[in-house]
Amino acid sequence: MSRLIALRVLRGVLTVWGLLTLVFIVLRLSGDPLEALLGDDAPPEIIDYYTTLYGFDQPIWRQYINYFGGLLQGDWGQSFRDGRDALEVVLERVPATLQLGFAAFLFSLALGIPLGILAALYRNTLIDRFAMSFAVLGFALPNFFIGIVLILIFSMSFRWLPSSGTGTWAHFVLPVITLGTAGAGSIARFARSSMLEVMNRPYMRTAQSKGLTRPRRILWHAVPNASIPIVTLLGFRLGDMIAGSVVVEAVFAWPGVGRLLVNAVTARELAIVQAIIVIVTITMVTANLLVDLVYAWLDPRQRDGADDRKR
Amino acid sequence: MTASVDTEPRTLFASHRPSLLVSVALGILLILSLCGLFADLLAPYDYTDQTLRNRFAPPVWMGGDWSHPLGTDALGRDILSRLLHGLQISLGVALLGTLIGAVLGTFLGFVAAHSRGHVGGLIMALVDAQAALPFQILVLAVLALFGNAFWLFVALVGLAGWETYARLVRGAVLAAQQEGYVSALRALGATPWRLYARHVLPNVANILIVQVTLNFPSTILLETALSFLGLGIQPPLTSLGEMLGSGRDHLLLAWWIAVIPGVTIFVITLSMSLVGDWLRDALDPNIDP
Amino acid sequence: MNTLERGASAPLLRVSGLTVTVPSPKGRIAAVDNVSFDIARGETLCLVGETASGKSLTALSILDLHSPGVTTTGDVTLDGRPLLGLSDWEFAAIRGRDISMIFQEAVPALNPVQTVEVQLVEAICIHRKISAHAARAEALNLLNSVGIREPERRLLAYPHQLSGGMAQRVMIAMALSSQPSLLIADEPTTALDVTVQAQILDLLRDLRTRHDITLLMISHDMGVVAEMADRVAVMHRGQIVEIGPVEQIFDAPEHPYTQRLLAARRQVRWTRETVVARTNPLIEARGLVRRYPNPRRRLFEARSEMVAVDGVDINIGHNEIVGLIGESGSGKSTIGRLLLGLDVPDAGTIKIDGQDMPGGGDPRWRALRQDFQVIFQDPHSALDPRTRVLEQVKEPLDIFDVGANSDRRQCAADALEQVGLDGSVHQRFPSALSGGQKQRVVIARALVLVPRFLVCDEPVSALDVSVGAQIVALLARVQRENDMSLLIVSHDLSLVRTLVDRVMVVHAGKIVEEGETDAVFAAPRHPYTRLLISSAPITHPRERGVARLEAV
Repeated sequence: MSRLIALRVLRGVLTVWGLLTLVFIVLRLSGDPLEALLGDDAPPEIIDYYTTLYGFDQPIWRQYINYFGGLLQGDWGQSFRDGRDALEVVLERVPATLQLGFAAFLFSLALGIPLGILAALYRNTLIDRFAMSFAVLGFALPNFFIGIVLILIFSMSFRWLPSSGTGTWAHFVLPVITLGTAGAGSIARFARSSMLEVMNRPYMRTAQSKGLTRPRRILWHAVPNASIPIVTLLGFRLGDMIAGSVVVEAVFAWPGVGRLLVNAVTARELAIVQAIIVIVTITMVTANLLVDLVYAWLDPRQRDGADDRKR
Repeated sequence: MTASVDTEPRTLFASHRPSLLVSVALGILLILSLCGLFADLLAPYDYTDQTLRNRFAPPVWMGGDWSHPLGTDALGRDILSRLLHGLQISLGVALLGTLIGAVLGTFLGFVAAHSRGHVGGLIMALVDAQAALPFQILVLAVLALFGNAFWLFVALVGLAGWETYARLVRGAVLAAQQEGYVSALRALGATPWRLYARHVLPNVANILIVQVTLNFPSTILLETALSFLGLGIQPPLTSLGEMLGSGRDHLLLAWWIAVIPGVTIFVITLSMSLVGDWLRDALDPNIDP
Repeated sequence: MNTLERGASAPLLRVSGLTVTVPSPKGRIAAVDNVSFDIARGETLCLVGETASGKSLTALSILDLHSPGVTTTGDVTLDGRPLLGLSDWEFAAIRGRDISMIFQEAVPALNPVQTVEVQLVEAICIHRKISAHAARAEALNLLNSVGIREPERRLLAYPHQLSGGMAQRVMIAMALSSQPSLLIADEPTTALDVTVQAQILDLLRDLRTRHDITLLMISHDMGVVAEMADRVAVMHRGQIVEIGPVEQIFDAPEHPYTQRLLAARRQVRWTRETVVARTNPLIEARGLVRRYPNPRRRLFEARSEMVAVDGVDINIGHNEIVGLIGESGSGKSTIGRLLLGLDVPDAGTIKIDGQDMPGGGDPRWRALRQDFQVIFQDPHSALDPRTRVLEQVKEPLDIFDVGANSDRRQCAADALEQVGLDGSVHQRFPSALSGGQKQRVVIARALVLVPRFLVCDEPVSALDVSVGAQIVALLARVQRENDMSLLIVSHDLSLVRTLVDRVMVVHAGKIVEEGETDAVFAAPRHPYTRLLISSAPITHPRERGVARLEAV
């Protein structure tokens, strides 16, 4: 168990390190960043000034060390445009994205898990068909399109809900639905198949032969076992959620990291893009670590190191 | 008890006839692919032709006339012509991207399963790293660094799904290696090449076909989402996502500019998902999402 | 009707006209067809039959434990009370309290995320008003009564931490927690090693007398039946073909199917005329050792090793049939793999035809593949599901590029002929064959290269008894016809006893006893061999009561 955690932490650290190295290499490969900053007709003395300032005249290994040293000290570069600290620019956007993402995550869990479980319990009934249609639609509907249709209906036609900005709970409704629907669909689908598989396991028959009634069999024996694979899925869902927030924030003019990223990419603000990538990576690595821990906590077989989860 | 009642390995159309819904989906996909393929012949106008006097013309069912059946956009360009070319680009990019991902992922999956040492470990570490990062974010970063070029974009879209194939194939190959018939053939002295090509690949092929159909909608969604943000397909080229993105600014005035490509994307992904689910049931009852 | 009379004459359980239909691609099939039987109070009835005879479905019907889609008609009464058609709630009050059930595989039958304690206490508390503290004490008692050592520690264990035998004891404890009047045991020892099986059967016998339990036992094994039954019902293709007292069934079976079942168990020694040349052995292995690393659990834990094969010497003569006998995890299969060059020993030498063999991966081993063949345990997975039978039998010839293509087809057809399969199977896929036919195809594939040495790893344990007997006869015949050496790796004493010239008993990676088969079985010297032989189920009910050896 402790070995498992240690290996996971190590792997997470390695992922972050590998990604940063990749970013470093790609940054150096992508041509002269000063050209992007200053234009091709900048006077040589200004170019020299910035070359020394950013350390581009030093040998590559030195630059590599400086790069990591800077990152560790919180020096993540400056925005080319206004010279503000990149990390600061990103961090001030994080709360808005977290609020939206968290709300959408809860929304998709609260909708998806009960729907999936009900679909499995009432297999081949109307409930099942509805849940599965919802899952397919949720997956097939592009979130930017859901957002636009919602705006058309609820903001423009009925004028019930705001189409952009933040502030009140009403501002949350449309973005949360937009961001959470696809997730709810795939969680419902996965919860259904996990539940169906568990219901066929020999221990469910044992529970029945012990004299447990159906509600108790489901709540005490089926749901705890079915929740184990669902937890794994949640780690992956989080990544999709982050990716989705880029689009959703653009649609609803939500002042979060996603929108900042789109603007930074358009303006080729490399320091900000890099800061966002690193923060997203750390978030994801941490989240996956948490998933592994919860997983081990839920599944006693995992605690003994018998890792048969990865297919 | 492993009494099996089948007499032959499942043949697709005998055991699982497509339902009406799936047949309709297949038909729609066929028609849309043909439309995309022959966009140049079918389009009534050049999709870049601007007629500034005739901007925001409504489609026929909203009082427009038949000269522009689906209306015109903010620059007076014919939406039908743009839709056909958008289809061509979007389907083409998604198809290429899916194939790149499938071929690369399958190959690496076989390699990872075959050489379980450092090479296999490295591939699996890459798979894990990719699975741990939202790929869309990485694509954005690369586009920020290198600027947008069409083939770079296609390559990036192709890289989006490889890790799923690699993991699936590796898992399937490792599982096949545990199968008695593979152990038996290896004990007989069969070379790895013979094992993989003649016995493992045919048994893995179903999983791959299903995964391609399931992966295709994700690929198309990735392309359209990026183009929607203005970071994917760049004007003067157009794609369904790019049309939707530029239509977004005129929702109040002319909602159809955004909704028509949006519905088209939805119809494609929905049809493909339905076909994929059907294929999965028909070809491989053992895998779940 | 007064109570005295009822106790004497009315059966505890009465099943009449039971029909169970299951869905299949060809429409619904009656897998159990109009089955009727009674069980008297205190009696043990064994329902015996082979795969798909409907015996398990019959047992599941009594408690209505079917999967969705299975329908049941007929009557089942317990103490005169009809059971079929009760609602889930009504049935819940009967399951576990009046009738309990235990299953073939005990570990997967326990909930993997709950401790033994939680599951036992749950079983106790459903049918009784009892405090949590008292329930725990009761759970301890139960574990003690089913012979689990260190019950306090086992209460806190999760199912995956238990061995198969221990898990089955836990299942039995759980089943007995509310003192049911009827216990249904569905192949309770089939998944267990023979020594563990003997212990579980002893336990069931002991509990039966102590708690006055009526037992309905499902089995495919006439040996287990001989050990346990008062009466026997023989099922074949969904019907009871014969029912009667156990002695009558064993002494004077009436139905031909019953006679066949019993004949399959009779231990006929295959007579052999060929002279075994042992002076110049085909294989000479000395001091074979094979270790496997255990997975590490803590970060800086030293890597521990499991020694699967621990200094084994083996000689196999030309034309000789040698048996390796042992229980699961004894290392017997690894020895077979080492001799074939499929696994590389960590120490030791192997000589073939007097020539020293190098380590694994050497081309000389590859050349030997033609001469050394192997048959694995499970015929159902041993054939590629997507390749036709003739093609699969021909494949070894393709691999070694033997002869012209048309000759290869003929060779493959001849090999199939030799194992008793005619041209009708050539173009079939494996899924269209029965288990026995598949195993014949596997043997044909091994024979097509005319090997000198054939390793059979549990060749019949996945097959029904009557089919297994045919395969044993076939192996004896092809050995004679082809002049080859056989190594039979098995846990099945009767198989080894009927077929092999010389037997080696493997225990914990070592060969503990070796000798001529008849001599070893008649006078085993090593305590483990004695335990193994005395654990084997008896062949006739009259042998009951012979004292069994204690576990070493």
